[in-house]
Amino acid sequence: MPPVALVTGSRKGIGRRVAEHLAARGYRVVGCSREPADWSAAGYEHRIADVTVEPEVVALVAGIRRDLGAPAVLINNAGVASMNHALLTPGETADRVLRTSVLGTFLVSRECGKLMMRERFGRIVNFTSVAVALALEGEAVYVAAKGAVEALTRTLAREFGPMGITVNAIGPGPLDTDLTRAVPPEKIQALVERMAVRRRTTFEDVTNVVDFLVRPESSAVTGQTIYLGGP
Amino acid sequence: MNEDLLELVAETVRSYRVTMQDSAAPIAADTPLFGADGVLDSIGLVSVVVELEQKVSELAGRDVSLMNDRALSRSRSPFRTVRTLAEYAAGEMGRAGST
Repeated sequence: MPPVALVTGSRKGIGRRVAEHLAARGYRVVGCSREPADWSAAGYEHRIADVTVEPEVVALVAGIRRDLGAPAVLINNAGVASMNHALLTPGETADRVLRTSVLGTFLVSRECGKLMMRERFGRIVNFTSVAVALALEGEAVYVAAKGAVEALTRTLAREFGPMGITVNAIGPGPLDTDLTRAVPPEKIQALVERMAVRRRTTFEDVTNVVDFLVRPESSAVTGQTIYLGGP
Repeated sequence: MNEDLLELVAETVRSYRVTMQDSAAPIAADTPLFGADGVLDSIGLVSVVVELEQKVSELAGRDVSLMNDRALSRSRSPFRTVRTLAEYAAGEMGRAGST
């Protein structure tokens, strides 16, 4: 039986690329998002779930367990950004950004953690951003949300460590996704200039670190946040 | 008290302790689970509750959550002994729409 991987927010962007990558590597991949996906791949199936709605998360993970077995890998990718000055950010937007990254990562990790615990094996990879390390202006709520994901990563690593489950986070620099497409190129360039490696992050940079973190041999690597491009 | 549920809790605790290669003490209805004389450490208690949640959900045919605000706000913890945990699980199984 191939190992099972769950990738949240897999309809597009990083989630899609990581899901495609893991499916190509032989994982049985379940992806989820609030909307149906308009792509498919061998070894991949898409399910509809909102990671901020607890009963939907419980049903999603219970369904995966029933149909495929316990996930060995969880990629908590689902996230939304709001690039706006703090003084111009509505509370409703802040709530949505925080709920998707923080509550979503928590709920899916909790449900998958219960199943991984029984297997004494699990690899959880969360997504943060170099925006946290750079305290990037114009992204106050996004940075707060991803900062919370990093704190969750460190704490879950401790809580899940005795159960054979590792929890780490990847913080990409700017990629070519919907999140960054709305940002003017000169702003992206200015961000790249502040990083140690002065180029945009690629999807291959991300999947390279995913491969490293999910390997069985990486059992001692936990509670870490790896920034791509360096802060 | 439902004897089957009592045995289910005891068996879940035994099973965890066997997994941990720590099966010296017998597990009975009044065996303390947690605290100074408890047979489980904090991770052990979490593991047993998660395992038990799964089993009682299968028995009830719906999701039953054993870790919720009702459990945590009780003045006397339901996680004291095999018996109190079984009684608590029975109550949660009987609670309509408990998730």
